[in-house]
Amino acid sequence: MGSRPLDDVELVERAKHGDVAAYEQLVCRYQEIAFRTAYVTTRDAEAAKDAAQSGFIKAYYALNRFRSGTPFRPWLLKIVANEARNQARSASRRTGRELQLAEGRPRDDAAPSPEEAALAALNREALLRAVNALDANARQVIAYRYFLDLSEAEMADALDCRRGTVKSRLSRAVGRLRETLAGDTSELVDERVHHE
Amino acid sequence: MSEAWMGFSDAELERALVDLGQHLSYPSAPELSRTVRAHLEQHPRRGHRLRALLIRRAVIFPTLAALAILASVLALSPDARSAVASWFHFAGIAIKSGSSPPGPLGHNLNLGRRVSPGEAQKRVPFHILTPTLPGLGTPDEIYVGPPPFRGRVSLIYRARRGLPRASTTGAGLLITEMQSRFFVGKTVPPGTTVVPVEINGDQGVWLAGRPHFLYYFSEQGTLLRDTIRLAGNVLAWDHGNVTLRLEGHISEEQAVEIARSMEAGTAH
Repeated sequence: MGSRPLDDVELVERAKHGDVAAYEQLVCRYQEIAFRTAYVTTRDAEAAKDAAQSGFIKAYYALNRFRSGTPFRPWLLKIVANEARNQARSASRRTGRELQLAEGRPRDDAAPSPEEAALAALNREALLRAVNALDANARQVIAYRYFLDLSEAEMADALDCRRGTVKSRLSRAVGRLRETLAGDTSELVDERVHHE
Repeated sequence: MSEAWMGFSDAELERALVDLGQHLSYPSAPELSRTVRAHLEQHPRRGHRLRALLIRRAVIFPTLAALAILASVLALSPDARSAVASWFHFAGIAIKSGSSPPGPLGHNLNLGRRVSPGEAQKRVPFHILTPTLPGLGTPDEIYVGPPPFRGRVSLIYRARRGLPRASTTGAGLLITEMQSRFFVGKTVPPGTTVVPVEINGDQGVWLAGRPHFLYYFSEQGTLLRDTIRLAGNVLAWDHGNVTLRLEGHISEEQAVEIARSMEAGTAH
């Protein structure tokens, strides 16, 4: 193997011809986004790992249906997202743990004072609570778009819908998020009083 | 605060969501590439199988080892022959010759979380089978597996008359049950014998000899390697979509007798 990293198209072509080592490189390249894509659906690390792994395996066996020259990532994420939905549906899986904020992250540069930083943190907590309270479909759309920064085309693939539908689903999800935020009043006020 | 949200424009809310995404904590992504590769090498796409076999020189020796064992078992009897042949066919021959597992066996059994019998049944999606052999009693400890063996139940019986103590723990018998699509194979170090057995109509295999691993396919197609804990003999069989294994320093007759007595019920 040369020192230049091969691009996706080359790796996929090799993998299509049975080169497992080439496919392994693709797995290395996309395992993190695959895992996170699965995780926002399963919210369970083990289930997400299983979904990502079986997504990679299924994608490999389906490579003969993959159109050469088209982007590999959206195609892969579609399979992984589908596996994640299956995992989440499976009765044997314990899902439903919530997405959580990272602890001990450095303060935002954008927050000029400790008070504003605390307020920003409070905002994040409230927003996350609202995201966690959404139904799986709405949460998925929001997470794909804003947390994982998937493109519209990738979202369409991962959500298994048309590109045109992505926008309307996203707008519906954001609308539900607003409703949830509006319903979160008492708890927020309490927290705020406590912080003040 | 909620009023503040109400006043947020879509653009502001979007910015807040992007900001939230940057502050989320994800579990660290697991390393998948080796497991995926191992799986794909064992199960090449149609048309690539022969090539894969030729490329993977490493597979030749294990295959020879498997064939040698197969040949020795085929010499046993016609019944053994047909049982072994079909079992290997079913399993797709994933026997690998290998060295013994590293580290002291049983030093830490790593079976997961200890649970009550009732909780164990709640935490797995299949009926836990327990031996009903008179004199064996109930399991002394029950564990539910850690990742990646989330659905794995382990029943431990303390050493007692007829169940000699394993060299590294006080356990005399370990029964493991896990939902898995296939029971694939095992490492076969020199000195291990493989004999087909039948447990109430299910095909199984008796492995006598030195320590080894077992390989499973999880329901999700993940290849899992599990260590034999008690460094003894092993009886393993598939019952429906569950792989069961029984290990200890016991004879084949004893193991088969215990296995045949296993029935669904509470693990009490």
